[in-house]
Order: sequence, then C-alpha cells, then structure tokens
Amino acid sequence: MLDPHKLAHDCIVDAPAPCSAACPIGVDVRDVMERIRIGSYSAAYKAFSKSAVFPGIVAHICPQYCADSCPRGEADEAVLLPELERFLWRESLKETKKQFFIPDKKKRILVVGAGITGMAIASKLAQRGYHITLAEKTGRPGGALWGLVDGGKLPPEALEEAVETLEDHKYIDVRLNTEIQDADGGYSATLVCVGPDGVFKAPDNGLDIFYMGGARDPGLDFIACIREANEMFHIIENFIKVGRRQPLETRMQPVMFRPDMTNVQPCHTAISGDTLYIDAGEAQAEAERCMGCTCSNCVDSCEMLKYFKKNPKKTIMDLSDTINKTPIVQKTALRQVMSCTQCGRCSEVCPAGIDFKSVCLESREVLHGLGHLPDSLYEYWTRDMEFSNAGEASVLIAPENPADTRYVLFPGCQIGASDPEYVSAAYGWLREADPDKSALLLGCCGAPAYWAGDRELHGGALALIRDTWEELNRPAFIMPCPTCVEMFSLHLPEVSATSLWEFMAERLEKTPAGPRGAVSVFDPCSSKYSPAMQEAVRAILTKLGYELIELPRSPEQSECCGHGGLIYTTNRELREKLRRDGAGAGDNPYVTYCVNCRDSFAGDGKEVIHILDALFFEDAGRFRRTPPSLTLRRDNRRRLKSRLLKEYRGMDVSTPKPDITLEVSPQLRKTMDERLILDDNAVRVILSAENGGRMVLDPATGYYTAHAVEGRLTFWVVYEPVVEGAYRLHDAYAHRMVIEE
Amino acid sequence: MDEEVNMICCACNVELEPRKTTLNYMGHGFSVTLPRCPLCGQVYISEKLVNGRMQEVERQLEEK
Repeated sequence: MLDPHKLAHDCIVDAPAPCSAACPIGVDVRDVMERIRIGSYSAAYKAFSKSAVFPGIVAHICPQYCADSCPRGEADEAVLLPELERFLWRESLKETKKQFFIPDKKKRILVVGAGITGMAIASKLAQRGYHITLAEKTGRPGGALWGLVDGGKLPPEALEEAVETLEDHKYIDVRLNTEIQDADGGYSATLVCVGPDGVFKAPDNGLDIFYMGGARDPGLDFIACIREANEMFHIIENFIKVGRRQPLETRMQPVMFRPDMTNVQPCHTAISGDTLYIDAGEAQAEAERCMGCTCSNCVDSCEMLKYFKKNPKKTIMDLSDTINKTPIVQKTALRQVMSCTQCGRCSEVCPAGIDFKSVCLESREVLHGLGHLPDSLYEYWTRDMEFSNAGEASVLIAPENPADTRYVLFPGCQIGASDPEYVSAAYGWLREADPDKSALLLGCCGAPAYWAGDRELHGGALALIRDTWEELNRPAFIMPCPTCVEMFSLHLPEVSATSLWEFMAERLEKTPAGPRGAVSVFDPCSSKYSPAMQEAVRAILTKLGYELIELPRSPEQSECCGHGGLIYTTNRELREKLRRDGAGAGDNPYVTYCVNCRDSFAGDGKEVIHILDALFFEDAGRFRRTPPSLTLRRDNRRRLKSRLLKEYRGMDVSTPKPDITLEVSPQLRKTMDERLILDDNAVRVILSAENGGRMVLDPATGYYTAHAVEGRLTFWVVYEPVVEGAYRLHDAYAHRMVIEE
Repeated sequence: MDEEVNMICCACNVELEPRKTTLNYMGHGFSVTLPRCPLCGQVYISEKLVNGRMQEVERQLEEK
C-alpha cells in the first residue's frame, strides 16, 4: 500500500549528521559549517546559540562529544568544532547585541539556584516573556562554573557575559544572597536548580515543582545540564499553558547517515592541538574540511533524480500531491514518475530501505487506476505489446505432442523485432540439443503494461503465458532477455524460468577458433538481480575467445541504457543522456545481452553487438548494424512468424501485400520514429483520403495533405503520388486533440 | 492563425478559409481559427501548429 507520508518520514535526507546525533545539545553542525564557509559568522553563531544557550561558555568547556563520530576521523582528523565555536564567539564580541521585542506572558516562574541549569532555563523562559525570579543563595550567579574559571578552563569574560544577559534582561529579577528552601505558592511553576548538593523541600503533591539539572540527577555534566534546560523548556511551558505535566521523553536515537569514506582524500587540519583562538583564515579552512554529511545515495545513483533536481523527500511529497490531486493541486510529479527507467539502483543504495523503484511503479498503478495517467505517456508500448501478443506476430511452435515439451524458448518481443535471425538461430540451437522437446513461444512478457501501471492489461498478458505453460504441461522457460527474467520472477514465480545464458554456459564447448579481440560487457539494468546470469554471459564470451575489459561501474550497479520503464515515450532528453553516458562508459566495443541496450547504443553510433551475434553471426560488420526503425520492428516480427510457420509447420503463410507502397526518406524515417508514427498509420490515412477524395492540395508544392482518426490519435500525412499504388511521404505528424469536424 | 490559407480542398476545388473550429482534449474545449473548406468543412492543420502550440497545450492539460 503506497503511503507517501510514511516514506517521507523514513527518508533520512535531513536526518542529523553523525556529529549532531552525538552532540548532547544537538547543535546543527551542518548548518553552522555552511554559514562559516560563506563567511556569515554572525549567522553561524546564531545557529550555534540556538542549541547552546550560552555559546561563550559551551565553546570553552565542551569536551567535543562529536569527535569520535566525525567520519573525517577515518581519513584524517575529526573537524575541530570547539575551535570554530570559540572563533565565532570572539567574532560575536565585536558586534552589539540586538534586543528584540518580547511579548509579555504575564506569568511568574521561580528558579531556585543560578548555576548552569538555573541560568539556562531562566534565559530560555525569559526570552519567551515569562517573568523569572532567579534566586541564588550565594553572592553571584554561576555556581560550579566558577570552579572552571578558577581552574583556567573557562575565561571569566565568557561567564560574565552570560551573567550580564541575565541581569540586563527585562523579565529576569536576579536575587542574590537569597536562599529558598521550600515552595512558595505565588508562582506558576518552581524550578529547583540547586545542583547535586543543594537543599530544597518540596510539598507532597507539588505538581508545579520541577527538579532540574544536578538537583534531579547528580550525574549530569555541564553540557547535559544545558540539554536538560532545552528539553524541559517545552514541558514547563506546556504545563503552564495546559496544566498537564508531560514526562521527559528519552531521546530517540535518530537514524544517521555516514558517508562512504573509501574515496575521500586525506586533508589534515592546519590547526595545532593546543590553539585556543584561531583566525578567520584558519576557521575557513577548517570549515571546508567538513563534508556536510547528508544522505544523497539515491540522487547520486540516479540520472532521473538529478535531472529533476529534487531531493527524494520532495519527490515523495510531490508524488503524494500527484496521486491525491485536487482541482488546485497539480500532478507535479507526473512527468517525473513516468521518467523512471525502473533500473532499480535507487532501491539498492537507500540506507533507509526505501524501495523507490516500487514507489514509482505503484504511483503509476494508482494514477492509472484513477484515470489520471494520460495515455500519451505509454500507449505506444502497450499497443506494441498487443501487437506482439496478437495474430500478426505471436506464434507457438510446439512438439508433435505438446505435453512432451521440456523447454520453451521465450525470446520476448524485441529480439525478433531487431533481427528475425536472432530468434531463428537461438531456436535452431535449442532444437539441436533436444529436437522433440523444445518449443518456441513468441509473445510479450507484459513489461510495457506493468510499467504503464495497467494492472488489467498486465494480468491479461500474464494469463496468456500461463495458459500456454499449462497447455505444454509446465515446461521450463528459457529466456534471453533479462527484463523478461525479472518479470517472470516477480509475476510468474510458479513457472520455472532460466536465462538462456545460464542454460547455454553449461552446454557450450570452447570453440577452437582464435582470439576475437577486446570488448566490454554492458550489463542491462535488470541483470543486477541475477549475478549468475552476469557470470554466465562472461563465461560464454570467454569461451568464444573474447578478451573482456570490465567497465568502471560494477555489474551490481547496472544502469539503464536509455530504454527502460517507458522512458522512450516520456522523456527524450533524459533518455539521450542515459544513452550517451552508457555508450561513453568504455572505449572498447560493447557486447550486451538485452537487445534494447544493443539498439539503443547502436543508435548513438557506438559499436555494439548482442551476445547472439557473438554466438551465431561472427561478422565484424554486426558491430555497426543500425537499429531498425519502429516500422521495421513490426515488419520483422511479421516476417519472423511467416518464416517459423513455414519451417516448422510447413505452412505457407505469406505476409499480406500492403495495399500501397510508401517511399520514406531516411530523414523522415527518423522523424517518424521520434513521433512514434508507423508506415501503417500513414498508409491508412492515405487510403481513406484517396477513397473519399478528402485531402487538401498545396498549389505551391503540389503535395497533398490528409488526416484520419485512428484510436486516440489523429494522424496527418503530407504526400505525393509517384506511380499507381505508390506514394512519396513528405511529412507525418499526429495529435491527440479531437477536431470537431 | 497565421497559417497558409491558400490550400485547396480537393473534394470541392475551392480555397480553404479561416473558420472557427472546436478542438477537445481531456474534457477541455478550445475554439481555434483554422483553415477550412467553406463548402464541405474539411480542416487543415499544419505540422508547425500540431507540434508547436497544440502539443504544448496537450502537455499542460496532461499535467493538471
């Protein structure tokens, strides 16, 4: 069940850095460092003060709890936060302190004891407008802090500065030499901050009495006392407003993010160990060493997330809006969720265990179910899937007795589309091994419908496969396409399925022929779920005599070639970037085992073959075979079916001759592919126009323009007759808007 | 619309003239002036318009 709010909560993109998680007072170190880096010292000091209450004191006495958590410690040394804090304090002395207007809350609070705890809570509550009576039994505020001053650990100026802010405060009445040993009813709350040795007698049902700091827990150190003041502050305020006492909650250990330090170069601090005060140059340099630990694992691994420039939490929230759209809230993340290639890298690297790949897929299902997924984003491929499963292209070649089938080769829809010979050769090989028991099923595994979020259509495609599987008495499916393998493992787990590569690797003999040169294996995105398949491919290629040069990215991190998840129809710019990046990842020619990767890279001019080329068509020219057009991909499948029926069933089913022939220039062919327009669409327009005489003529060129509605699209063609039954196409375009004619 | 309005309707043999036409998409209707045959009403829409403004509007509507 898709729950965007839970996912946004799980995402740790703004989780505390390891230093903040270790800091008792939770200083937002990332924030402080960022501001120092840009030279905003007073802003950095302000960020620090939020947690520290008395930044001058903390800067001198904090024992640097964060030291052990800073990942820099693995490369060089932890970032020296106390030195930076002291630097910021000295800078702050140069500025006049501003006083802001504080609305008068009119309630009175008694704070007994002006040690660190009493001072801190008095300061925080006074800043909210409560009238504080700060009673101190000795002649000066500070308590045990004076011990640190005497010990040379805390400069007196820092303590005096803190005392001054209390004495000057409009809402604080400091009463020295005043010992209070029991409750005085005239206050909304009494805060007992007498320290571990102090004396205070509370009445039995003193709900308005709060023991804090050393008085509550003698084990607390100075920094812990400040933390106590920060935490109790809300509880006290809530008590005063509402009259109920909330318990002090144990601080939950936040989920932390630790960056991967393996490739970080050492950068030692330039500050020597016993420096009390550093200068601006040293502060800048030290702040530069801070890595600003924030989780960006998914963004780092995903071009789609980089392209849309959003952190994952924002994407999830936009997704939530998109799914729950109202007339006011737009489908902000629609294009984004449809641009996911479903490669799965994000889910592999997320430390919070968010399966972002599934989030994108499930969102599509929700949108589709609600009727909010425009079909322009997926229709071409679901149509293509229907073509693969329909009369023109689908075929089952089974043994004499279908129930004898042991193996069925399931090539998937695009291998035969790229080159019918691939399927003939692969099936020929399988039949050699087991002639009477090998079947061939041409159809689609359902991936396009799955990626379009169309559960019903997907279910239909799966049912077709399942029915054939039953008909053949449950044989093992042998599959060359890694995406088909992934789809089967997710949606047809009952069917025993193996990749053709693992099947072949066991049975292939080493060829006696000589070496074939150096190539790099490009692992298709879905192969990451099957390391055995990745190994088998390499074993086969090595046996064939190739020298394998591994690409920099490891096989577990296999990426998209620019084809997956319907991106062909949803995001051209991103698709081309992925293709370019993939093709450019290595200098050697590629061998891959997904035909879409093969055709995608070939379209970018990269030398690439499919492993079937290596096995059956050992011809160097295959590295430069241009990818077929969309129209040819359909024709190839029709031709393949005819050929198979002839060869294995002795049926002469010639592909029907087209009613008219079209002449299409290579340039226009490319344009039609981009616009997802097939020759079939153009032919139907011309036929309907010529039969009805409905077309317009441009007298300047002599070209005709006609249009016709087909399904959800209106197709337009610009053409001229050449000879009887033949036409030259000059342009073809389409739109979804319906013309009221 | 600044499209060429000198296209000729082949059915009626007359020049197309600019006429108000309704286009629909995703439940929204648009009234647009397009070249049409004054006799039979046949429409002409150029590639420039289809892949330009029309596509833009389709996209905007899809993301609403």
